[in-house]
Amino acid sequence: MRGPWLTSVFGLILLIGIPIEFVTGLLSYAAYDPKLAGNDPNAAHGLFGLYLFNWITKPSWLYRVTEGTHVILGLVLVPVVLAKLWSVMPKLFQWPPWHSIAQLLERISLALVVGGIVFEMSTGILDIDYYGQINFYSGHFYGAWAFMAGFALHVGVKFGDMVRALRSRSFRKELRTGLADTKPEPVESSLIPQMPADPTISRRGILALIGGTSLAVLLLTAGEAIGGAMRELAVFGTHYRSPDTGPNHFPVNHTAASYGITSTDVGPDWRLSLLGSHRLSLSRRQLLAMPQTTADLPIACTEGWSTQQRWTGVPLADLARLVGRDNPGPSQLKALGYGNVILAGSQITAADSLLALRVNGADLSLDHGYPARVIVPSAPGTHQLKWMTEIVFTEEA
Amino acid sequence: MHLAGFMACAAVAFYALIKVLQESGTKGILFWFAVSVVAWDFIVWPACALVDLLAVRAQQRHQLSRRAVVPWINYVRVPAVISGVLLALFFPLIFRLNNPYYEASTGFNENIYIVNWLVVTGVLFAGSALAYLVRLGRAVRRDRADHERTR
Repeated sequence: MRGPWLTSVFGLILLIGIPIEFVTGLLSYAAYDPKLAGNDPNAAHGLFGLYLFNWITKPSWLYRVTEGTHVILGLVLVPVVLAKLWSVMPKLFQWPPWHSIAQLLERISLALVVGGIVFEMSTGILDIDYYGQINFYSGHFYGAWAFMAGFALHVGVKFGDMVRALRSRSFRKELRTGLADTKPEPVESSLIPQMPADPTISRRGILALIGGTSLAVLLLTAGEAIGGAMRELAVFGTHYRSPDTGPNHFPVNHTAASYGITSTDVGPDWRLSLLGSHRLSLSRRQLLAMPQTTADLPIACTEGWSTQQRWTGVPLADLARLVGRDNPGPSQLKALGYGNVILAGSQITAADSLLALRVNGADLSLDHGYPARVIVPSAPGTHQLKWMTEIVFTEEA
Repeated sequence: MHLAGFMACAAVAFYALIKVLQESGTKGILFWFAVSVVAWDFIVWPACALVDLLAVRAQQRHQLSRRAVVPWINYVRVPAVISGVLLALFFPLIFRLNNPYYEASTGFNENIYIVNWLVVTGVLFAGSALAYLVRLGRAVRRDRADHERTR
């Protein structure tokens, strides 16, 4: 059944899917606000940072959706990529590799496309499986640009062939064609085997096999980003289980124990320092005595999983005002354990940006950042520090 | 036009390649790339093709030796491909390759993933076997009916 039509069907799916992956990937990098010194995981981005803009806080689900799409769609496309590679397998072993200069160039672009997609998929997959072998941020980012360059060229060369092949057979008719009527495509093409064995599966069978595999991957992973009852079904996700019961029953990323944070570190002596025009130290009781705001906001991880909860705490803008920063600019968060993050002024002043003290009506658990964690609409989870100790507010220039 | 496009893309790609090699460790990437190519082209791919070929042969022998048969090859291929892709996507979790980090991050351990994979695989093969039996039953009945009519 191999032939230009089948290859083109897979090609068309990837032609739609891969640009979505690229755009959501670029957005994820922008969401880190790399322009603020210290936030940038790819400080040497050079020309590839030209598009960057200050990350936005509305709508609050934006990062949750773009990153969930990036990771889940990426996994769902894996069977399609494998099928596409399978369908062109005879060509990859073509010998001699080229007949003309133009063909040589085309084959170089193929090396970028095939090498690039395998590299992008393996770095992404190993990262979400906690088995990264190389620096994920830079590898996946620069690798994406190299891959997309090859991809653009490949599409430019092959687009006409794809359209012609898709027009050569009716998709609907193919779906009605069983095994008995499956014949090799009646066209000249190096994609068609020269001496095909009798088919053991029809074209619609191949499409069902690949579509079914993608559907299975979708069902078994999407719950990590959608949440609710679907999360229980995401049995290959790293965060489909949650510790605790009751109000704090939602996935944890980095436990207190893993940073050696104990209840004595966050006992009655814990204070949050605020630094602005002057320094101020607040206990948890003082923070709870301030006007509280409640907001439904997601934690959305770069690894694709996310969870929305109801947070209650003090608006970050109110804290800024306490230390004389009525118009805050980039501000630094410091916390126990990990982290040293800069939030933009717009993120401090956004209506629902909170120093959260409670979640779903109960005190935060230690694993969820007790005594206080930051939560900012649409920010990546890694910028929403737990176990906060200090905020350094600057004034907008 | 063709050439201009190529030059532009090549420039972007070359720039990106230099960056990626600089930033993520040249050795790591080149090693990774070589291992992937060899593992994929010369081990995983031929192995899968060989298993498939053996299965197809077995089924053909089967078909010659019996009367009413429904080809079973695709009832094996479907669950095997889905299960295999899941294994390829999640093998670090299934084989517990980085359990300490996983525990630090989530508060659980990775022991459950191999169970999940085996259960999903079992369900897929069981479902496929059931679908096959239904079709086989129909074929046998049809075959018997044909026989009686011709008698």
